[in-house]
Amino acid sequence: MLLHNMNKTFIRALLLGSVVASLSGCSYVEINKLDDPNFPTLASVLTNATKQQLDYLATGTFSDMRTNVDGIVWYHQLTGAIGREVYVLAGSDSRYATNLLGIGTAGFDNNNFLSGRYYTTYSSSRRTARILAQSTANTSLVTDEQKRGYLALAKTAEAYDMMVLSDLQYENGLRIDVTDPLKPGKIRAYDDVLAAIKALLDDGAKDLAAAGTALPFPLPSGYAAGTAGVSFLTPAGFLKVNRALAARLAVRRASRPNGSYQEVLDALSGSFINDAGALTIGPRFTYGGTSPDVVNPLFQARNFTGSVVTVAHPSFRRDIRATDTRISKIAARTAALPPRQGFSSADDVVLYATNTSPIPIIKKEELVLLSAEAHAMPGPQQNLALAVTEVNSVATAYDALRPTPLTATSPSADILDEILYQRRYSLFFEGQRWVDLRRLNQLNRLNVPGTSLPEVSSTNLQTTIVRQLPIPFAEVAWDVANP
Amino acid sequence: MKHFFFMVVLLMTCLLQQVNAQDRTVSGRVTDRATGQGLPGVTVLAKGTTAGASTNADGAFSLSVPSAATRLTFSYVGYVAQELALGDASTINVTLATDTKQLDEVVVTGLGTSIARSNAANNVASISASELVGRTRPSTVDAAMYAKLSGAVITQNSGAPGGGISVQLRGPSSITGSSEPLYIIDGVYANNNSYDSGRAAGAFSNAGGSRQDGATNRLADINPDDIENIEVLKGSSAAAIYGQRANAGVIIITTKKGKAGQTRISVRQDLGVTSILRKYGKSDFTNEKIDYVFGGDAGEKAALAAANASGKIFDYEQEIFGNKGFLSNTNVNVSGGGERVKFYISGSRTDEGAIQKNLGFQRNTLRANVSTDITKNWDIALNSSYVNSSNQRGFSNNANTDATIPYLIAVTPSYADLHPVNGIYPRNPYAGENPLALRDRGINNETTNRLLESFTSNLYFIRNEKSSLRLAASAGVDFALTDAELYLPEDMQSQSGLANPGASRYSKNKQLNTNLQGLLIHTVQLGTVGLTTSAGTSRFTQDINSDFVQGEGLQPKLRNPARANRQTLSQSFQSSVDLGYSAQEEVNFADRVIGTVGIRADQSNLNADPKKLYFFPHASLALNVANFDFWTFKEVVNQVKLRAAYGETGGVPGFGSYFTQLNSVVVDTRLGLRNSTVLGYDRVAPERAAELELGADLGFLNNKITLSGTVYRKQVTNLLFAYALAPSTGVTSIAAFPVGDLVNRGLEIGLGVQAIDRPNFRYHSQTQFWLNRSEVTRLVVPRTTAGPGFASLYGQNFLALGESPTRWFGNPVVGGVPTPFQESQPTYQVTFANDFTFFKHIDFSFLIHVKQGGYNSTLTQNAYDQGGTSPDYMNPVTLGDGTTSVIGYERFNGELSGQTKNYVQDASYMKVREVSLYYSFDKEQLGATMGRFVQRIKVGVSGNNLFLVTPYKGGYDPEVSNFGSRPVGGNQDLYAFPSARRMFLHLNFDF
Repeated sequence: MLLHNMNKTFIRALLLGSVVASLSGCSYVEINKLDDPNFPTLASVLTNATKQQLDYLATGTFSDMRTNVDGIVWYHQLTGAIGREVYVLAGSDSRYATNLLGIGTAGFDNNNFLSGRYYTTYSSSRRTARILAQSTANTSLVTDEQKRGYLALAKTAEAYDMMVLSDLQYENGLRIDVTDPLKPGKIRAYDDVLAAIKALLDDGAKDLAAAGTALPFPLPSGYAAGTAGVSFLTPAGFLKVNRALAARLAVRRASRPNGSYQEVLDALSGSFINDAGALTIGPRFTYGGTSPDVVNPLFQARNFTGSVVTVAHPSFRRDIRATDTRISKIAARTAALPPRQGFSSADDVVLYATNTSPIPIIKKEELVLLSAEAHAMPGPQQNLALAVTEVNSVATAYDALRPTPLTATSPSADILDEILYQRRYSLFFEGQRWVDLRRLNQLNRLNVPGTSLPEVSSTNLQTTIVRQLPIPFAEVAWDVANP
Repeated sequence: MKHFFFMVVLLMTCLLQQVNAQDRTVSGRVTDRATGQGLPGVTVLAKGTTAGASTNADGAFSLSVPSAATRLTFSYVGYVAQELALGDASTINVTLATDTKQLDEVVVTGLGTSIARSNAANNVASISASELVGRTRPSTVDAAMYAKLSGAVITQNSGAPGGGISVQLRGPSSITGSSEPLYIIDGVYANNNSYDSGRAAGAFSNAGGSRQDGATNRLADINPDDIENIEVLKGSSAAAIYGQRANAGVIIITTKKGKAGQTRISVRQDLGVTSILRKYGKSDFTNEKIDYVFGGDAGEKAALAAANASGKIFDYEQEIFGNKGFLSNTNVNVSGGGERVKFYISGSRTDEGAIQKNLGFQRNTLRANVSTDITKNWDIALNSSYVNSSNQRGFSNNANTDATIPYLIAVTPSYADLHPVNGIYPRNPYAGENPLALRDRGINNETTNRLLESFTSNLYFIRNEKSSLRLAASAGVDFALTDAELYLPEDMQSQSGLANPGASRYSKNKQLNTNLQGLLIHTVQLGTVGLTTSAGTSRFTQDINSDFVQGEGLQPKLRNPARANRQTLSQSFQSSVDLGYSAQEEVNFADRVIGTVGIRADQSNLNADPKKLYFFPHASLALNVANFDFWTFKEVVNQVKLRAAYGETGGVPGFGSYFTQLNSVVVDTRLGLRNSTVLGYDRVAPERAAELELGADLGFLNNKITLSGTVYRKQVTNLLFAYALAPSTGVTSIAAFPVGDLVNRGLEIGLGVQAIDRPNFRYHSQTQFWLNRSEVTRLVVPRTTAGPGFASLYGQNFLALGESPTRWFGNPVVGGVPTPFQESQPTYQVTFANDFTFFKHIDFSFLIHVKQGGYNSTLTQNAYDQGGTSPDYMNPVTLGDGTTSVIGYERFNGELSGQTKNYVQDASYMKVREVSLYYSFDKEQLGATMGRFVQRIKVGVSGNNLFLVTPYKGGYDPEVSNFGSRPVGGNQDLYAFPSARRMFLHLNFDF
């Protein structure tokens, strides 16, 4: 009743006044642009990045070469399954079989995860390297010598990413100019792509030559002697990685116009081919078990029965020489999987002991076999005796000499066959076999012995060999819309 | 409702003042003309005075009438009002007839204003409490709206307990944003979010993103029993005053309020049982089938022979989804009020089992709605509610680790024995997990604690018969804390092969919505012209704070992720502030011509320019032809209303649309930065929709027959969508780019017939028919996939000029252009609601819902074909070369495989949504003893989703969405949880 008897006008004035006051008060009408509370921004590194920011981008560049789980799995599964090194047996998704093993007439779908994810992740990795390069160019907070170090990493990393992409896209080509995402250059032919990768690697090598005696950024442990077998931590050391990749590239160029096997040998001369150490030395992608680091995504427990299981292709065991110690790269499963889409295998892939085992980027044995191939092939650089010595050095190390040993007078075709055998088992499930057979025009080696086609599933599905992956739908759509 | 409430408020304040002026008492009872039952809450007014009362639970009233009064009016929502001469009688008994189309009901027209339905210019749908839960008992509010809203596509994402329902009004109004309507509960901008549980994350099912974890939506927290009324502003023309949050329509929920008079206690107890609505079925194995499925594998044939010999052939579908879940819902409410204070207090507990053991849904709610008049010109109200709701949803939907039960059922042959031996579940050799282990040991639970508070105040500066001016202020808070728990033990099959077996995740999602609103509302009656002017401002803030701790590599038998080998932490913040200004003018010429114009101006820091005001105008006109003098056949045609409405609304961009970020990464414990494949758009602005709605409402024979027809054209411009770039650039898209325009056209027809209205038999039917068509009319980006999808083969949605964004496209892809298939939106929907009353005490009703057309993309049948378990697997089929084979094999990997038509399947259905039968005992029947305490007892039985008729072979239920609630890209079926049929026994007591 007290309120009832109060001066009503007074109450109203008071209320209205307080409402108006609170509405016009600073907080009610205040509305501010938001800052991203969850992530650092791209803009913050693009101008005058600090050395710490560049170091973070350098670490990101190293990390992205291993693509943080996703891409590297697709890269190895795609090349491994198409190259008949492994089967990727999926219970629930028949596309692993139909797309990778070339079943049916529909062809490889250009709009699914198999044709899209590796492409996106390696392209993203490429952009991380480009952001490092751009940030380096736009800062005055590091010395010129330091800048050369960052740029060398950026170029070498981008070249690596482009090489993976071009291995999968092959003669479908690739965009070289991707500086402006809104105005990318056209898709260029495979030979132009290889030339562009070579230019990046060569520029990176020049930068390293001018980068002084120490790299400005920390390198992952996969480049240190402890894991790699030899240290690649200095500009001179990192140059050996750059040249090893250049050799891998050069052998792809060698069978194309403008390429030569001499280019392979030239690149190898700057690599770690002559460094002391086992055939398996070389830089590696490292994985830590502690979040937010990632674990080795190619690791798979023995006898795994999950939804998607990678197993060794039966031809691995079928074709390996009796004494070849590389049989340890596979192991018999205790229980066979029931056939999936009519495919099965008795063997697991056991390349990686644990989920923190490193994955090799490029190994000395690959370099030795590249050298052997260069020496085996016709041309001024041909040296069959040296080729035989080199390929036998690998064979001997694994107790895997040819039943009829090669000599310097063996036919060069036999020498090449032997090199391909050693590459097959030394570089098993490392993305090389399918590429090797394709560049040497020997994909028919993947056929079932004595037949003109590869295997047929137990459910009677004929497989074929996929030659290259389709250009992803979004790439095609962009070009249709932006002629 | 608001007017009614306001009238009661007004009434009571006036009574207070005039308590000395009255000179006699009139009492009596108001009953339903058809049933004879007492009508509670009827407003009784002495005309020309401010004296009034409201009837009690039995319909009785007692009123002190001033000597000047000569007539009494009786009004009640849903009934035709009556006016009677007072005379000298001290007892007046009145019967009220139902108003079949509830023409005296009011509908919302503005933020603080409403209008009689008979004068409305929009087809505003409304659902009353009795329609909502009066027949049967769906578990959530959105489930209770099924088949009661024309123009709506309501789809449950799966049958898993605890909700997960998408409501789309008048077609898609966004592609990536939310097409869920804005929910306003007693003025509170309510949270209807769905929080990812993480079930789709790598450690659990590795299904990937795009919300494949089968989340529930937070509307499940609202107790349907507390709802008095739901009003649905379907399109932009009706919802324009809600501005930039109203593109997908607005659903206004009003909870029950106390009424002055005797305190009423109402107790409702529902007991029920739930069982699977439709089994997929299975087929057993023969050696011949093993030849097809397993390539004649000798081991499989031996296993089959052994199982046949020992009789160990199992039906895993029945074993897992054959559970009968117990349903219980208890609701108690107390309402009433005195001269100045009115209250409604309720408490409820819902405890629902499920068709799968260990799963279920529980909800406990407490509500207090209290209002008081501080002075005769100032009232305040506080509506307060607390909810604790939880669900146990298990593992279904997509899972790349095979941790999804429906898939495991499909691919496990019936001769496999997966039953535990001494507590150890055998490995399933046919897939990555044992379904029985997943059922018994996997945990996917969610618990929400939520507070909803709304405060309103009306302060009158002017208040007389001719005019009024008031300040309507309101404030709302909606705070929800959702805790989710996921756990797969380390020795389960799908975990054991992982690097770190055993995974658990504990997530917390904390969301706070607040809103403030102040409106000045002026009404004036100038002769026959009524004017209502309102202007005001409102502010809405939203803060979401989400985090989780995930452990992989758990200690045996321990869920705590802190002890795990590997922990993942996540923390994410989102916040936004919206500020709006609105003004509106409504003009009413003698209920003949009613017009409205208004505008809303909005800003938000979700837009790239937070200071910029975006304007959303609206205008409408209703012409009540039958109210003009020239209309001389009003006895036959009592209403002819022509109406037109135009309005514009917006859709705010998602949080972070203008950020371009770098992602964080670690190598060797060293932090790094990496590219993000998505760019922000630094000029992002709201999507806009402009809608023109035209309609006509006809009423015949005093509304015994009502016919309403509405057409609309809703154009959404500057649709925000990811602008797909060439992925070779390292950027896949610009997150939110104005890519084009979309038009929705539709038709809504409603026919109500009071076929029979006799004292001992009443029959009313309501039929609704509606359809919507969508078309992209402008596109500035290349044809692009819209919404998630699995692959071209299985059907995908595209944004393409001249096409519907919800149409399926698939293989073959010719020259980069996929082949068009059917539309996922329904061709049309029809509902048929029927209510019968026999002998005043028996109520029978049923509600049928037909969805014609609308295709799903489904991979579920594919899984059955893969496993060789589809019911028709061994049906013979003749191949192109004349040889015979079996259809399951050919569909999966033979001649019929690889065809999109296998996966895009007709999802038409007819569902009997609700059937109920009740008997009411009134006070007289209860006798002297019981009747003294109990006003009414109502007992009944009902069924919810009793029958499903469908041609669909793609899964358990054609109503499905693997990717959760979304405007485009729903309607995909990948191992969805089956739907349930629910049957109830009801007991209601009113004291």
